[in-house]
Amino acid sequence: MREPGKLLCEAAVIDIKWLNDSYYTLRFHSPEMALRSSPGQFVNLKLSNVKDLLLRRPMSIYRCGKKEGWLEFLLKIVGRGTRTFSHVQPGDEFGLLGPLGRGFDFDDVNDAILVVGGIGIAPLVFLAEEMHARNVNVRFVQGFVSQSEMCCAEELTPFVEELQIATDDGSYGFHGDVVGLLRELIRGKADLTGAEIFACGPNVMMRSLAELCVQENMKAQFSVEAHMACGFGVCVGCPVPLHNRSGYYLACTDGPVFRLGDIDFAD
Amino acid sequence: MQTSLAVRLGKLELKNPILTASGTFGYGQEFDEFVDLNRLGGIITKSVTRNARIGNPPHRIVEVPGGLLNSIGLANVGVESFISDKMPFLRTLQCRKIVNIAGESLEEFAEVLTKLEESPEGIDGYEVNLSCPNVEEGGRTFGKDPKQVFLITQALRKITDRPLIVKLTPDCSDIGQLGLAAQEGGADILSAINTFVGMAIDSRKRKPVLGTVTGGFSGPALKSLALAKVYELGQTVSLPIIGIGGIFTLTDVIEFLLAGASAVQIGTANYIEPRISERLVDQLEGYCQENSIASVSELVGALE
Ligand SMILES: Cc1cc2nc3c(=O)[nH]c(=O)nc-3n(C[C@H](O)[C@H](O)[C@H](O)COP(=O)(O)OP(=O)(O)OC[C@H]3O[C@@H](n4cnc5c(N)ncnc54)[C@H](O)[C@@H]3O)c2cc1C
Ligand SMILES: Cc1cc2nc3c(=O)[nH]c(=O)nc-3n(C[C@H](O)[C@H](O)[C@H](O)COP(=O)(O)O)c2cc1C
Ligand code: FES
Repeated sequence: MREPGKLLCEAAVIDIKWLNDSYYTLRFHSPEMALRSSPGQFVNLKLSNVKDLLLRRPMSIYRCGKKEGWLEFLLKIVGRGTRTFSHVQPGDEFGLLGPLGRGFDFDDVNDAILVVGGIGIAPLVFLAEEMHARNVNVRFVQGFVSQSEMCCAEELTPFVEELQIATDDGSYGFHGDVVGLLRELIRGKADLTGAEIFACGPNVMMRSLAELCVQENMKAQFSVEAHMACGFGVCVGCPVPLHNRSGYYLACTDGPVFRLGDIDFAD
Repeated sequence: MQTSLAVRLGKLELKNPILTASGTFGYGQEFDEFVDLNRLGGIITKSVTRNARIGNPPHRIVEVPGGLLNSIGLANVGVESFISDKMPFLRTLQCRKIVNIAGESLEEFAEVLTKLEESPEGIDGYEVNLSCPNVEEGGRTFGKDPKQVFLITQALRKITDRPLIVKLTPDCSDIGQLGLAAQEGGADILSAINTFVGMAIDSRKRKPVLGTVTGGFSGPALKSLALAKVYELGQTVSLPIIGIGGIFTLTDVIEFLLAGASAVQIGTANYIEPRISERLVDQLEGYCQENSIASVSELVGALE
């Protein structure tokens, strides 16, 4: 896959929006980064002039306006860094290092089902948009804990043929997890089992999705997470177990997107 | 005014005192797009062992207050691939190339060094990572025991005439004793410090965060501890010292020089600011000019 050069630059926040209690988007003016980005890649973010956060935080590219020169991330507050980032104002500067990693490969894909759990939606909105632009049929299946976490339906509508939602507590859509919903959807539909799966979500979801794909003989690509220090292959800190557990890939340079069968979802 | 950044550490001459620390700069090539590598005093490679090592299970990295913990497990390509795949690039560089070696037994250290000595030119010196478990002594870290430090240094000294740097661990009761042992064994230079052992716990899961339970602590909070170790070594041994630990700014560099280090290594900072090593060279040059310092070596040990 093409590996365009990385950029190391500063960029100003131009917009911050809250999607629910813990999800927010940060939009940056960064024309060059936007041009180089492809779906599934990530950028390492650092808030300039903040000293008590040491490492950069890896964030998938959520959307980008290549013509207008902006880049957007969707973040979920889970700890110190993602909370500190949520307090910024338009005009505040971040350090950006990216785009990093290998993204999704959809060169030969005609039918795709995108499957996400929670914040795993972040990289797949950009993917849906790019797939749509290249005439891929996109179906989108989302899973959330409950209705209050739901997001991005509006952004996705123009790009997808079908959008299905599951909530763990049944407060909206299918009552159950997203893999359960997918199983219902594809049951007995040959046109759907011929599609390729593109997924991002928590490990438990990815593991059960991988099992389903094996049963149904479907191709799949997964975007995985790992703790990272550098993001560009130097610290060797982001191992992802090989399928046979004989060694590790690096999430930051070999991934973060891997094909079904290449990796093992660690517990 | 003219200022010289050159420093001499025994047999090792550096055009400036800024080196990059093992494990934080890959094999140099990874930083080629960020840094003019030839501006650096030198590069210290990731630790090289006899065979390729896959490294430790996840998680290997976690940020903690003041720094980060790592448990990489010496994942590396092994000495043969290092020579065939990594040396060709390093050889094209004009800065000093120092190969960091590691092992789990005295024989492994010796074998790795012998293989490197047999390879063609392009190596300007070696750094010995003694923060490894000694399999023959139940996994006890070599570097904690002055006797082992002496034995390994002595054995490696017999194999090479190139500058030999012994990297000391701070996880010990008396770093001066370790330094003396390396000096007696024939080391040319000491580097200090490697990481401190640390631990992080996920209280919600009631589990250690790192796959190996404990790991090495590095980063800003290491600086004051490292300064004390460098200072103590300077009072005890006569060998030149390379200071390492939590260096992020020009002031940090100068503090280490004043404490007695003749050169420094930049570690964790490279992950966050990939251009930092070259920037520190520029800043050090500016500082010396502004303060009419003819040679940066005037700062070494110049604590009043
Ligand atoms: C390639 C990649 C893409 C990502 N994309 C997004 C995204 O688009 N949106 C988003 O909200 N999050 C994303 N993440 C996860 C995000 O990087 C972490 O949530 C963030 O670094 C946590 O920082 P913190 O300071 O808020 O939390 P911390 O206080 O550092 O930790 C809080 C929790 O997050 C976990 N964590 C810490 N660092 C990471 C990490 N690097 N990766 C995964 N978990 C981590 C810790 O185990 C802990 O449970 C991505 C991670 C990777 C590796
Ligand atoms: C992820 C990581 C990997 C490291 N790997 C090595 C190594 O292979 N060999 C070695 O001698 N030191 C290794 N170190 C230690 C550093 O070289 C350095 O001594 C230490 O990090 C302290 O400096 P710092 O605070 O500037 O990072 C590693 C450090 C980190 C953070
Ligand atoms: S994050 Fe450093 S090697 Fe992947």
